[in-house]
Amino acid sequence: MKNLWIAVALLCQAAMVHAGEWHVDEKVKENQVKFTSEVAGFSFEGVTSKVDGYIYWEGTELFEKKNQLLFQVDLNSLDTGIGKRDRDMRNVLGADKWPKAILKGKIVEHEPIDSVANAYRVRVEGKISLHGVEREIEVPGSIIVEEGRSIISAEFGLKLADFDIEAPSLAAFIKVSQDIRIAVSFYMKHVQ
Amino acid sequence: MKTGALWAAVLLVPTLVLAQPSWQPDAEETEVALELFHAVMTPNFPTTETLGKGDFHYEISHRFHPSIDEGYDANFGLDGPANMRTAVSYGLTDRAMLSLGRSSLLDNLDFNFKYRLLELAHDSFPSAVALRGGIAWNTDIPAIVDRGKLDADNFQYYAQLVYNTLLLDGKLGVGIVPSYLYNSTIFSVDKQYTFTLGNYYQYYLNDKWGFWLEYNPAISGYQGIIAPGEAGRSHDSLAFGLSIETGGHFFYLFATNNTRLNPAQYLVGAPADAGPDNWRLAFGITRHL
Repeated sequence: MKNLWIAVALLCQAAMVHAGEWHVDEKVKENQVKFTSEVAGFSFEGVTSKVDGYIYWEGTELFEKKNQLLFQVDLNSLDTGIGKRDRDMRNVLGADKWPKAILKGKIVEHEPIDSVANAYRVRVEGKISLHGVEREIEVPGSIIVEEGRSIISAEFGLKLADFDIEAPSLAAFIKVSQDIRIAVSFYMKHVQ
Repeated sequence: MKTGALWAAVLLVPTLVLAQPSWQPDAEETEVALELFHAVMTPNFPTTETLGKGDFHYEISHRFHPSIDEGYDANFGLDGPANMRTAVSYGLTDRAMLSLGRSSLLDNLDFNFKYRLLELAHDSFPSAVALRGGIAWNTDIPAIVDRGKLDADNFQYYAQLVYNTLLLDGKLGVGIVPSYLYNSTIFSVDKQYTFTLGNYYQYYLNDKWGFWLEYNPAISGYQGIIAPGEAGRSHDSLAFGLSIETGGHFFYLFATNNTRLNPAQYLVGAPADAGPDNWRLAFGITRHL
């Protein structure tokens, strides 16, 4: 009887221990989250390398089952190239109260990209939290899997009004666009 | 039986725990410098704010000579003439900045350096302290004064300690600026000094509009004339007006009894007292680049 219990436990362990987990490699300087706003010939962008998070799934295959992901960006670290504008942006985003933009979700689709080895086109569904407001979002992206690490890239749009953010002034009497483009590119290390 | 169940538990519990992401959020947060005033300067004084490293800042200011009291015929003073200052600043680091400005009064060339010394983050009484030091070179010397442009007497020196705090839930900015000026008037035989205790109050109605008041009383030292053709003495400076903030621009529209612009001239005082006939219209426009 004792042996049966041990066998059951080992079997369960064997079945459950197979999981994949990647963490954002915060030491990589090339990590980048960038937003771009354009209006009437003016444009500006803000950049940060302070992105953190993980992708996790169970099973032996890539994103096999119960996959989940979470990424967060430090809004206080966004750099637009002008100190005053950084400050105005932090105020607009309410970064003192909500210092992170957080994306939580799962990979609902992934398929190999024919032209690139170990590269996948993915689609993420989840919720993004910004300025204290949470919204459903769908993000297309790509993942290149290398030995011990992966490279994540994605590009998508946000509307400031959806997050109760008032479009700030870019120059005298010119307000920035409601539509902001976000582009991310960062490295994840394989921890499992 | 019991031993077997125990074995199973011992082996299963860790695996159940492992079946979760092991990721933990980074506890380290980006430190943001204490931000009190919205700009690096008020119309006549420095604040404790500094430019970001590599940032530029441009200022153009006018102080109109005719008084508001002259009415419509002089367009309330806007017909001019006016004293004018133009200046450009540069952020050396996130805490230090340089400025180079020129006033049309005596062609006063002003070069100053500001450094943010310290800051105290406090919920109801946040504070910051900065130090500004400058040198002014007066390059328009009347012909009757037998002196070369580079003569040491044409140079003035000043130092200002700047204290700022922000009260009323971020609505009211307060500044206190003890200032010392050496060689207050370049035409005096003996070197003069002026010590003032400048103070200013900026109320932010919202992100765009605000109103403010500045007062610069002389505590000790020289308060005479500073340029040929002036008569009488100088007086404590008073100014009040509106501020409009939009993007990187600041517009200051105000009334003042002091038409002097560069620090080495402003600190001596106003050419007229703050009586009802002596108020002048003025403006300052800045752009943070």
